[in-house]
Amino acid sequence: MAKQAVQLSKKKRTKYRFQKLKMCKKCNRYSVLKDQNCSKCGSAYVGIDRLVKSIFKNRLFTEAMWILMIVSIGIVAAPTVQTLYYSLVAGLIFCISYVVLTFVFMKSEFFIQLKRLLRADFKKIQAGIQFDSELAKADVKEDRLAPAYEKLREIGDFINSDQLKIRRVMVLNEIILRSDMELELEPLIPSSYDKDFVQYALEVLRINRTLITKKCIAYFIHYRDAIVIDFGMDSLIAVAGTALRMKLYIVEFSGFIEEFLEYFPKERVLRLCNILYSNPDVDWGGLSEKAKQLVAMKYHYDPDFKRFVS
Amino acid sequence: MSIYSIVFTSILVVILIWKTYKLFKNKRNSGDFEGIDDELVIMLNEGDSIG
Repeated sequence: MAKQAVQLSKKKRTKYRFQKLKMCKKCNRYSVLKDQNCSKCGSAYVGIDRLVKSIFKNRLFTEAMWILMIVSIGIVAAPTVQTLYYSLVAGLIFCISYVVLTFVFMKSEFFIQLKRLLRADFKKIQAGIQFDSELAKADVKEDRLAPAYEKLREIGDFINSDQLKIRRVMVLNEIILRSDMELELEPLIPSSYDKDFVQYALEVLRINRTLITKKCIAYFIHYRDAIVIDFGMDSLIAVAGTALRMKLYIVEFSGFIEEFLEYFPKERVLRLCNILYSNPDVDWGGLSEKAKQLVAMKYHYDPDFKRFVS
Repeated sequence: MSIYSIVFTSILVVILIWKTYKLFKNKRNSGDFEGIDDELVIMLNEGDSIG
């Protein structure tokens, strides 16, 4: 099937993940999607911050009513005029102290309220995310890949299951990937071998090799046998070449790089030699020796390698 | 000062002390927002039911 050319919107960023949660007060349902209105009833979502603030305000209002009632009873029930004035002053001082205390501890009270709400509504949040996931499934079925992926991406901030990761990868494999897209790789690494993930990773490698991180290279090394069967040796050579991106990776995966050194294009070998040459104190294992041999054998005539040929 | 004033003031002081105790207790128990994030993600991923 031909891949779809789509435009993916930027990911919604918040300081904390829980800030993405919002609720439809009419359906009493949570959502983590970017939509401003409930997909069921169309009413506007209320952000979790606003929800907590409104609960907090209601609580304060109830407390204030109780306080006013106690103080008022104290004033009204005063037996003499003198005690009435006394009760009035005492009540006023009490109210001011209460308000000051509440304001001083506002932040921690908001925090506690938020924690309570999330714990109490945990099942609802889970059901809401499940509903969001169903919406994404429906989008995939109707071939609306961009909205489906955007939904799965938002859900992925909360759910780390392999099942969801694979679903995201499968959607991405149906899309023509471009370098201007906000792609992710490390968060999509599954806990076991998955052909779709490797296919996606190899596509990402072609587009933006900076996304190939230590964890990703380790995944390729761990499942190398299965990867060679499904995607051939070239895939491992490409990943080994990407490991040359950082000195840290070269040290970490020197054995892996050494295996495929002779298959690297000239510019990769030149990069490796530059790094090895400028860091003579680092223990590169057998990689340094192998690189020297390769240069002596294959590039001894090349002026670019002149300074590496002893 | 009459007995009434003493009783009334005592009630108000007890309420204030109780409120302050509750606020301090909440402040001590409140962590950081990253902690809430982590807790939420752990809770949601228990059982891996969503996919």
